Amino acid sequence: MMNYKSNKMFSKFMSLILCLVILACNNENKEPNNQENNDVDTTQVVNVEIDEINTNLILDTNINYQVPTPNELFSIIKDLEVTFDASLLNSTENDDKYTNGLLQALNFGIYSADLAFSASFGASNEALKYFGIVRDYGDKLKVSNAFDQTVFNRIENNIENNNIDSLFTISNETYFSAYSYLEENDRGATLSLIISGGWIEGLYIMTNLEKYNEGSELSYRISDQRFTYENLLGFMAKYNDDDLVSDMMSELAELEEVFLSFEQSEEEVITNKTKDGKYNFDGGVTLKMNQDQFNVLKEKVNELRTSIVEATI
Amino acid sequence: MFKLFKKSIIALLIFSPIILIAQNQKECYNTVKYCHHAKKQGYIYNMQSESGAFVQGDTAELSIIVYKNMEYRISLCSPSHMDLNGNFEFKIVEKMTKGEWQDVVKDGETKRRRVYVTTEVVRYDNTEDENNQEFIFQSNKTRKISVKVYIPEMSGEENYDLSGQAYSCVGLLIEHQRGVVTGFSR
Repeated sequence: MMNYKSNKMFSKFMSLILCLVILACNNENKEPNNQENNDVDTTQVVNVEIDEINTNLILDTNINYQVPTPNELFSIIKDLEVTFDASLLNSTENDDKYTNGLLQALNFGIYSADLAFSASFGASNEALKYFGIVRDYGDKLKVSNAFDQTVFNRIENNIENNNIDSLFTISNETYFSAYSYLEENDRGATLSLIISGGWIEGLYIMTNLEKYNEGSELSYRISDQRFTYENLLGFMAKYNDDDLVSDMMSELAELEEVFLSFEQSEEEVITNKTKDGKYNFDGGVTLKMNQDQFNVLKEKVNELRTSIVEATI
Repeated sequence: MFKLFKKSIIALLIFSPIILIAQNQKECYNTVKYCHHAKKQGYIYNMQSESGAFVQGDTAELSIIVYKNMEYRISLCSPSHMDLNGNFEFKIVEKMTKGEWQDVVKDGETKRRRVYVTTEVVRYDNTEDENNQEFIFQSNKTRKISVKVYIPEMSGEENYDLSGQAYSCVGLLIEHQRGVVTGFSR
């Protein structure tokens, strides 16, 4: 009898061990960078699904695509001769409209981009206000550990001291914390929606800051967003099996035609090494859009952004 | 009872390394934070950095966007396999995509679609630069580039995944700061 009990206990113990092993292996399979996941079948499946989203882009699921943050984008934009326009920000009063996970994730991205825009241009009052709303969304999306009171206090102190650079650094760190938290907790689908929301807001602000001015630095920076668009879709493709992500990819694909119609010129590719051991990349591809292409892009981005902030998407 | 205890210990000894290895894969997240950051030189952490578990002897590819007039620093590290540090091989490749119209057969129908043909230009290869482990550059325009990293096979203590392949936690650190603006404005 004792022997039977012992065997039974041993079997249960072994089952527990096996369960642990299986659970650990399942977690491992969610690892996006594990080369084991990057087999040929996965590539084919994802590409077929992307094809249904009506994209002509060549996206290889063996490649990890990355997208620059709104902070990095606005640190470039602030060097151009453009002025901050608070009317372009998504009103914090729209907050009540975002009742489901899709809207919360997309608008978290939008508000994060608004925070980056405000912080980059030294609009301290707006930065504080948008940090507050981003922190609230951190709670809603359960990434609140990224926005603790210490960070909030640091922001307040920097605003009091008019320290714009630190404000920008904190805004960058905040985005980093949320990003890392979601990535580490296998919430890549939510992360890709947040990134797409931030990307749309960045493009919306850029296309609405000024009227089209052929040859202006801003017009070139807008054209450059075709590169980030490609990487955004590449990033999202990893989570294409999530319905919300694939629906969002379909919405974004509406922009593709105009992006791909931009004039593309090529110069000889030159790489120089400087005396201090650094390199300069010259030549290559330059993208350029005309007035009509700008109008179409602006209209489509405004439409998509409105559907997100007005919660009609 | 002693036999049961003995069997349990044996089972633990057999399975615990497998559990630990599976957990190690998970621990590869954020490996990049252990890489040497060049904060003192003014660089800011770039969110396009990447961490992961990589099979030794394999090549990994990361596609990133670099902005005009921004200076970037790219470096690699493996805190789990110190012997890899200093031995990574990497290339910076620029992919240039050109659109052209082609007839594509889909579901038995021939449709005219715009197809994008990509050509690759190697901008930098560290094997041709004394195996330098960091790369600092600036671009005169916004570009989409790929960092192709070869994870060398090293002898010595190794971790294995369930398929028996040696893997390492590798961080690809990207940092940026405002670069020096040169030349005429476009």
